[in-house]
Amino acid sequence: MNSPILRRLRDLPTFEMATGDPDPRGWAVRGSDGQAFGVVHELLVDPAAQRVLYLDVQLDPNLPNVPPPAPHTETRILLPVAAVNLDTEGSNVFVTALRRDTISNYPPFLDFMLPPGFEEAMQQALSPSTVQP
Amino acid sequence: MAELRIQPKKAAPSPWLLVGLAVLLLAAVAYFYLRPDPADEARATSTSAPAPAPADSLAPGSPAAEARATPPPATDSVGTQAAPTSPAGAGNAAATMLLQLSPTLTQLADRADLRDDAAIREQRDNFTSATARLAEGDPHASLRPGLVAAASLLLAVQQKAYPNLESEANSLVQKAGLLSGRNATAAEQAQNRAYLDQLATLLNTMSYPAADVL
Repeated sequence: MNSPILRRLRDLPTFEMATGDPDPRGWAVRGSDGQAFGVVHELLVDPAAQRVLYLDVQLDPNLPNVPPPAPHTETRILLPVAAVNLDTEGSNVFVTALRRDTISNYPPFLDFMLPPGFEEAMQQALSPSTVQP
Repeated sequence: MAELRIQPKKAAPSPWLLVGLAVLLLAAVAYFYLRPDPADEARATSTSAPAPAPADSLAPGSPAAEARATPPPATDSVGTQAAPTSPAGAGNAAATMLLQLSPTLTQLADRADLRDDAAIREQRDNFTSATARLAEGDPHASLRPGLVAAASLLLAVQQKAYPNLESEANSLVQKAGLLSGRNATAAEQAQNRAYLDQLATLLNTMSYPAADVL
């Protein structure tokens, strides 16, 4: 099975969010403790399947144990849509598998090109066994 | 677990289509608001040129057809309208000329810038009354009241809108006062004809806007 070709939604001017589905860009991303640790910056979509696969999240600065980003850059992570819950009334994205103090264990998203094993690393970090109490 | 879908954007209507519709709408509104009033058009047409003779079925070569073939006189002035065209005898030629001038006179009195003047309205009514019996073809109707009323009407119009035609209007009123009201003798016919010519000339002058009359 071929991997889907991921594109940023902003790079697809002929596509838009499906009618009835929210656009979470700009929404706060909160962990299991309800604390926000980032903001949805962009959506990575599979144009062929017409689905959003990942949320490109820009992390807040000064998160514990997260090294500061390089100058003029932000620390970002990708969150699979299937792993989050959307709060459309409060415009929040909840990730129960992460918290502010555990986000440092999550693989940062350094480039739009996904390196080999990146998705597997994400899934492993999101597995329940890695969630800190 | 969340699920988010995307869809191809729906084709929005071309902005040029909307612009075209807006232009069409504006044109329609402008047409309805700026088109000339049909009543004004009818009045202008009847004032500027008499209605053309209806096409009839004259036999080719007949005397009537030959008469029709001769070029008609120019009809761009009121004076030429006053020329007697009916085969009436000399006895009612003056009445015919006066009745031919009557519509033009009343239209002048009904002109937008004149019809609200009380004196003009009164003189118009006088003229209509004075020519009513003539219009009905009464052979015993007197010609003089109509001739005098026409002069008085033009005098009222002159006093309202044409101050530089004062001498012409006064001269016409004076001439009207000298008319006998009959059209029997050659002298009376000539006098009536001269008066009516002068009346037609003044009426023609007044058919132009006051600003154009020097």
